[in-house]
Amino acid sequence: VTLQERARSLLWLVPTIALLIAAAALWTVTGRIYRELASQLAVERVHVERVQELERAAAAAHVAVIARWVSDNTRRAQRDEQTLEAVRLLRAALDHLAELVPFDDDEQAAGERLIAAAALMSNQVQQGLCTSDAVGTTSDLEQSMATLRTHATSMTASVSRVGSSSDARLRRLRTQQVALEVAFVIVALAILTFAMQSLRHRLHVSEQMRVVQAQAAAERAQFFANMSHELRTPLAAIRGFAINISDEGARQIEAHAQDLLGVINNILDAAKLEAGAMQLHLESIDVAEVLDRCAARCKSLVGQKPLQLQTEFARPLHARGDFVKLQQVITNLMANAIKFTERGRVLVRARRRDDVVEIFVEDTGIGISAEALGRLWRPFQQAERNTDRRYGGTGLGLSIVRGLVERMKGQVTVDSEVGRGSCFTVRLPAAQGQSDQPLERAS
Amino acid sequence: VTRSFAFVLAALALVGCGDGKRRISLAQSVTTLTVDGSGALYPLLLEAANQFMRQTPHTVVLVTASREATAVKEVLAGDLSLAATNLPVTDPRLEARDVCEVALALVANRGPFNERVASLSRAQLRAVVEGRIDNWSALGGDDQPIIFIDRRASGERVALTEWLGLTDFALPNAEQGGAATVQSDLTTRLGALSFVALAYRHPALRVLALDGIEPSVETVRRATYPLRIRERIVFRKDAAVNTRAFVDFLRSPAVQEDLLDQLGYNTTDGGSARP
Repeated sequence: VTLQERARSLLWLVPTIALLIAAAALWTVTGRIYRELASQLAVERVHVERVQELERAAAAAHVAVIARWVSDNTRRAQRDEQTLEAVRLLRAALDHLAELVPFDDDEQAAGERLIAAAALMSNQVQQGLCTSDAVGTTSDLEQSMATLRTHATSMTASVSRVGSSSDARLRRLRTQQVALEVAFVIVALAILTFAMQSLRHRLHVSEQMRVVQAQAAAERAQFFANMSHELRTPLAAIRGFAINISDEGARQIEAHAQDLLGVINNILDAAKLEAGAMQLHLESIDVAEVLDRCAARCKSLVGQKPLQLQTEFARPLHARGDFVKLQQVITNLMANAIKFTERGRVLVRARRRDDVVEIFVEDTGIGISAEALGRLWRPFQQAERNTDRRYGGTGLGLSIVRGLVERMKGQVTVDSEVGRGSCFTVRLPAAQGQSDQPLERAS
Repeated sequence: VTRSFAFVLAALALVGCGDGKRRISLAQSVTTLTVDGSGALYPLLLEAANQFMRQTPHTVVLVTASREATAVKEVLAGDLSLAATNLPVTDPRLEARDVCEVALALVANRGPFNERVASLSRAQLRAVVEGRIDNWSALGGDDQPIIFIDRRASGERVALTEWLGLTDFALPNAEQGGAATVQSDLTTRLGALSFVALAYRHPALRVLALDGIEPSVETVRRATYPLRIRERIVFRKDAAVNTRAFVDFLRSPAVQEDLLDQLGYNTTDGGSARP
């Protein structure tokens, strides 16, 4: 799955996240408006209370002054105190009113007029107190009180208008909030459904792919089995007939058929390893015997080359592995060593170290470059680009070697230097319960 | 999703912008001037303030006479807009304007006990404030104890003390009175005697002459009445425009030519506006 495909598969998250952000923003905005309106309503109540407080204080002052004028001398001093207290209350109410912040121009104008009227009345009450000009001040006071009440009513009306407007807006906002909630739930459900469908589709597709892959693997295994049979049968016949022919041509046929069989076997082994279809019989095997057989088999490969084929190992030497497959591994490594070594020697060593049996296949051949070592174990690769043209081969051998060794729970490594030779090391788990000799030399 | 974003952006823009108008409190939209100080100027200031408010919208002038002793200091501190006083002002940060001249009258509770007492001499008044005379009979009236209503911490008291040639006086039996209630006290307290500006005169009270000279606009204008006080209005040199506007109003013809005479004050150019 490419990054692009992965990103495309997550596209449904974009509208979901966008919706969540939008919802959060909407909640924030509507919440803020809601709080503002609620506080406005609370402030409106305070405004009305302040106006009422001023009205009450003014009325008290008015009553106190009137009462003072109709009092006899003995009660007038007491009335004076009451009047002064009423003036004090009026001034305090005036200060409270002045602290208010009006909602609009109407309320501000009404508030200013009310303050002016209250201030005038405050002065008039004090005038009546200090000059006792009852007749003149009474009419002035009555007029001021009426004016004050008019402005108070006007201001209360302005405030109430703001309040009822806030009230209506609050109700509207609540309705909008409910509508928003419903819309949010519907869209969220739609996106969730879409996401579920998308997920189900993806699961369905991957299940289909798994079935197809399993079918393909089964078909491939069947194909290799058939091909193995179909290829080997005519080759066996060719070889059989070639053996009975004694001339040179017949030997050539037999040799090439042998090569062809080797190639086919390699291809089949590689395919089996890749498909995990290779069956191994892991048991305690005598490595010395394996090496003996391999050396014997590969002796003919040396041919006319000035090349010594040597073995050097302890006996007995037991490892845990598949006898036949280990032969295949060592033969492959030795054949390679002989193929890429023109002169000198090919040495096969083996030893047990702790719980590991190590088998070394060393040569004094052309060696492998560091760059080539990186791709050495990959199938259809040879060390150098021109190696296959000069030495032949499919490039499958070492990948099969590695596959087989790893299936035997072992490890294969290589050390090499161009022009000085190579050393392939196979490490296998030692067989339990066997006491092997450390080293034996033979040639 | 696009519509939701558009709605959110629009809502945010609306909320963010608001109505663009900064709302201010009523205290900020209405200029309030507070005036306090000398009780002698109190009746004039109340009436002048009312007239000024009627012709000057958005300005409120609140007058009291409860802080006579501290008014000037409070103006200096910025707690009061204006202070009325008859005492000299020396602080260079303050400015003072003469408003009027007024007779400081001896006013008494009217009763049969003082019907025959029309005038007091300086010596008699001194004897009263020093407690040596405590009965109207010693002044030519009937037997009735004198209740001296003192007005401590007032500028008028300072003027009276100076005129009597005293540094101070302290009557143990004196009652304290304020500018707002002194008239009422004099009306209701039998045998009461006090000193107030002529503006406080009332038919229910008896106004006494000093050394045989009646206190009146005329005697003040002629400077024959001996106990006169000059009232000033004091404000900070850096006072606001409205404060200066009210001071200018106090010195305008509307006050100087009409109101002073009507209330019993004199202009400060040596006579009343309407002799």
